Amino acid sequence: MISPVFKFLPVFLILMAFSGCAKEDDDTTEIQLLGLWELDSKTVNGTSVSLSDCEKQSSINLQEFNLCVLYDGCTETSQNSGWSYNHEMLNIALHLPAAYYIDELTDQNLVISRQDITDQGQLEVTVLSYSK
Amino acid sequence: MNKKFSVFLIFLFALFSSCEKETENPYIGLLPGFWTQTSITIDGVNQSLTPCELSTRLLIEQNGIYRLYSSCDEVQRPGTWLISDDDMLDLSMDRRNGDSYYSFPVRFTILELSSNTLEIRIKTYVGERKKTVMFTPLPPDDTSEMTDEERFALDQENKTIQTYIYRFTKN
Repeated sequence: MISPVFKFLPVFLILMAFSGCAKEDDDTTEIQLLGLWELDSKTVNGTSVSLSDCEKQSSINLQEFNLCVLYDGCTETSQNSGWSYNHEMLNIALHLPAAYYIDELTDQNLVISRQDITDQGQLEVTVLSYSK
Repeated sequence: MNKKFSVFLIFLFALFSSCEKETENPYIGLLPGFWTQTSITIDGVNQSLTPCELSTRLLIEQNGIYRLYSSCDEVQRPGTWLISDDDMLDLSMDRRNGDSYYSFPVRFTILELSSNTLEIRIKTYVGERKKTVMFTPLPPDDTSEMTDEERFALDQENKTIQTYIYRFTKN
């Protein structure tokens, strides 16, 4: 005779499977964000901005424990910072209060955008494309 | 009987453990955006906006952070926002303390919030309004050449409560 525990176990497991939280999606995004991202291109208000060779050496290294390293290819300097992902936005401490919307995220590509107010009070949208 | 009770318990557990997202306040999705100040009403009287007040811009982002711009001092002021009690907008705003500013919580009532219009109200002392960048910085009172009577009158004015309504449209 099968133990009642084993009889109801499949039902229990199915119910648990459907009880997953939305937070799991955030966890997946955070895992996918980890890594060294190198800058490929930049647009400002939809217009492509030509990057110099040294600018293309710039990168963001998003590491575990919410640490990140920002590398400027032109000055060849690194800055340590923190990062987090919440409310579907990527926050990099050194760049706050501006935060980034994630427009595209795959294993190899990351496209983020940020909004700023210019000195003339206009909205400016900068889109940065990175690859691993 | 025990078998049926076990099934019932498992069902209850799954029902209450499923992380269904709580119903979100609809204002939370409407508030983010780039807003331009279009009118200020004080005690029901529509004010004529100065160029500096017309230049006021609010960039509100979904992560709870906003940035305020005004051509008055060309300073961008960041702060946090939160919607509470269904129709209350809590903003952290700059409040003057001598020559510097510190972050101060200010609560507005949301009168209207749609895809392109934001109207909020606050009742506060005139003196508090002068000290807070709401949403335009105001110069401090210059009492250096005032008589005692004038200072007293100013003090009385600053202790008066007024109702301010700020209206913004989304670009």
